Amino acid sequence: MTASNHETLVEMVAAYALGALEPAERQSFEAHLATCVTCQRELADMRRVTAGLGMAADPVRPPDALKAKTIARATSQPQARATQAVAPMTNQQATRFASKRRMSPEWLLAAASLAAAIGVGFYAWSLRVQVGQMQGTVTELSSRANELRGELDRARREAARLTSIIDIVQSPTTLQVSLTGTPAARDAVGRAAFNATRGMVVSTEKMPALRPGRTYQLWVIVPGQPAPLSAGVFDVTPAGVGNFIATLPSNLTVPPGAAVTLAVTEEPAGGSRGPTLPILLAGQMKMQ
Amino acid sequence: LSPHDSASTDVMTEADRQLMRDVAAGSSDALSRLYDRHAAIVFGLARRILMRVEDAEEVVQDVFAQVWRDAGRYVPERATVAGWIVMLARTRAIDRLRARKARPDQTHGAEPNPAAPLTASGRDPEQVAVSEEDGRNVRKALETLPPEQRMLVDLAYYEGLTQSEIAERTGVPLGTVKTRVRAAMATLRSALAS
Repeated sequence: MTASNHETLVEMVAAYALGALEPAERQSFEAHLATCVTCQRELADMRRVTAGLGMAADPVRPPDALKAKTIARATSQPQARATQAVAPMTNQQATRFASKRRMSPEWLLAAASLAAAIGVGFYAWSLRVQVGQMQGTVTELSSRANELRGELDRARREAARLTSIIDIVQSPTTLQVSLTGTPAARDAVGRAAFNATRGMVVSTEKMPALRPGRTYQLWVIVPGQPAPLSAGVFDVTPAGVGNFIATLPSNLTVPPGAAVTLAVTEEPAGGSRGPTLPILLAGQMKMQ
Repeated sequence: LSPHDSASTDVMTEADRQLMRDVAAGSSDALSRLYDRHAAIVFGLARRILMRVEDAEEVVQDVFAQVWRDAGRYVPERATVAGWIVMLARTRAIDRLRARKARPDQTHGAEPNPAAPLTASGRDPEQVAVSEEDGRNVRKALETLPPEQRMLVDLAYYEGLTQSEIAERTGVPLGTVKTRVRAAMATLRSALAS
């Protein structure tokens, strides 16, 4: 039960003890009461008040003849044999059902529908609580599932990347190319693994650190082509280390025996249509 | 309250419980003694609620019939005998009052309308740890209530009206009725013996 629900219902305790609630209010209160120790305690005190109200009426000695009649009638009926405490609700039903004088079919029907109404009310209420709890659980699980899905996606991408790298590097038709720094980046070194059909993997070390908004771009320069073709952009760590899978230009056609140059330049973030000089890192390979 | 009064209350309460055990064991003599001790309060309350002697007599018979039947179910830890009997008396009296309202043409011997007891007073309260001292204190506290609160308690307790019915009867807005009922009951509760 939520706190706000309790706040609303605890206000009904006094009226409930007085029997002054409407049937619908009484049902919601009884459903709440079944599980709320605070309200049960509160009600126990309120019952003392209402019993006290009964005692507050002036006692009146009943006519003498009433006693014999009352005792005779009472003791003519069988006694209930339940000596163990039962739940108040059940007890009430049992008590009323045990009433011989009133056990007309209409009364039984009314009692049964009350039991059903309270039962259904309580059942509906407990279902609502359960649904509320389950909704909470579902929300929690679904956000956890989204996190896991994100992690899985990242892992898949990484696995695909690694597979692709292994695939390129291990292929017998792959060419290994050493890249060396130009006077503009003397310490820089790198390697490229180039496979015309599977792609190209490039790794670098000791590249100059990049300023914000700048990136490195790899170019493929093929003799006979009017301009260098971009093979993608990459960033480096502060130590100048970069690892990336290059995008082979879709229009790359290399005639056998041609000497292809790989070159790296520094460009604005996102890359340029053509290289901005100077070239920082370069290497050459001869196609088979 | 002097210690002597408390002690005598405890003795009465314990004596009641012993009588209940005897009634549960089938002693009509014990029932007769419970009658001697509590019939006047049942009759007084029923007459106050029903305003008719013959109806109040019916309530007395109903209550002690139920005491006989259900003595075995009585749980001493949960309720004093006096509290239990008073609550039974009030419930039965309100049941009859409602039945009478539902069939106003009958001038006497009105049996409770089969449906009425259920909507009128709800279940029989089993847990009433009320002492006679509580009764005296509530009675005193009742005198201190503002008249408009006192009237609401009377209408609810002695006439068995719901809060909506009280609002309708008195013309007081329902929200005010609810507030006053809570306030009145809080005052009466604070008068309980600790």
